[in-house]
Amino acid sequence: MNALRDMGAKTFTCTPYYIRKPKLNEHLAWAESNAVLYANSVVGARTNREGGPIALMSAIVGKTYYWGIHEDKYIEPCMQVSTYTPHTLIEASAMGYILGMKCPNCIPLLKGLAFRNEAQLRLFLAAFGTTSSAPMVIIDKLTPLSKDIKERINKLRNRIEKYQISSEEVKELIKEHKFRKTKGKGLYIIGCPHLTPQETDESIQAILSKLPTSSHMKSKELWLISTKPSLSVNSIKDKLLRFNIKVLHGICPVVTKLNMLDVDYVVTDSFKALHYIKSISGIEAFIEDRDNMLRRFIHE
Amino acid sequence: MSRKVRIIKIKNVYGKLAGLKCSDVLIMLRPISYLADLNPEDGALVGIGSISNKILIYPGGVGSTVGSYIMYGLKVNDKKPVALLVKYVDIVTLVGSILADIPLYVIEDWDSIISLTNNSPVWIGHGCIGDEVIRIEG
Repeated sequence: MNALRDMGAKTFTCTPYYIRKPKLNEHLAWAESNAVLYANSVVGARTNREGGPIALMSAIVGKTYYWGIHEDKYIEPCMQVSTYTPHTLIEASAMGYILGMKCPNCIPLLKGLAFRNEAQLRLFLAAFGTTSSAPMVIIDKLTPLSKDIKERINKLRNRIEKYQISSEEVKELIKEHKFRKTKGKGLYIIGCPHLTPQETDESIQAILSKLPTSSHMKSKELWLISTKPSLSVNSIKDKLLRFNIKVLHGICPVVTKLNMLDVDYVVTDSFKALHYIKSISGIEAFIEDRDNMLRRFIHE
Repeated sequence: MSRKVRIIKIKNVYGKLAGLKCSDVLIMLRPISYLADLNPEDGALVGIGSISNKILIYPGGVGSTVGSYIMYGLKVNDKKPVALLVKYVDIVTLVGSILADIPLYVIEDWDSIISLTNNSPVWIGHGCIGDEVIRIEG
């Protein structure tokens, strides 16, 4: 971390697109799968899904290799997937997770999917990046594409494999990982990928309006992880801490060995976090929608 | 009972083997998320065991871009496999194999792997790898 600071790193986040949004057609060398997917699929910039070392080398020399997604011909879908507009954050996340398993190494073309908010989109892309190695998802009516690429994709539409992600499939996956009462200390994590400052503030407001007068949450802790420090938190930090609520930045719950902390289980709204926490920290993890998480955290 | 022997063509992507190398052959039919599935300290791969000094065949990498560092960890901890043989090359796997100096190959006929394993998600046998073919017994 200090070496990176010496090189000029100012912010440590998995959502660098909220620190500096790339430009359309800008060529980048980014690591962090959700950021790569956001840059290519939402902004219309171009970055391969670099391993960390290449991103670092590119940062040093200011150049990257002209191959892969930097070339138009690479943007070619292998499968057309139709699905529906998710109702909740965990539905969006589950859809991304399922889509990645269907397309582990190729770019899917998504039809019929609209996102209700930025958080759904981010959770969807992060979950896709967990189960796939593809650097991009082409989302109808959202992904910026040049006229030439659009025409080429339209010609391919009838020739590529088709798949439908049904609401039953999504609900089945959610049911498999849904919250079950577990003994011990629970860590509730919101912010994988990191929350925007606005989302962080909204979550804090939602919590503040429901907090009881005294804390009884001894066996629970809530982490809200934000892209950058939330200034509005400073004045209420002590109050939040009394209720075991921490507003954090610059950390990643996925690569943190949570088993070294005093934690018995995790509840999260992110399939990415769920997948990695279970395997890396080896502790039980559950999926739950953000509103339900906050309700459970405060009232149960 | 006589054992089945298959000779499958492979194409070198990175690194060289110093002559023919024989070892256990581990096959997984699902892609590997290095960050989630592989422990760089002891070389254990979830669902199959240690990959140290063995030939590993799998479709390719998925998931976190931290994966290249996890592969480098195999070198640091002296738990490298003999070689990695994949169906597709993704950048995280390629960079990881270069950092860790693990020879990387593409299997030219993936269907022959599926037929060898009889579609079982995990298969373990023995084999010898050269620069152009792998000979697998099982």
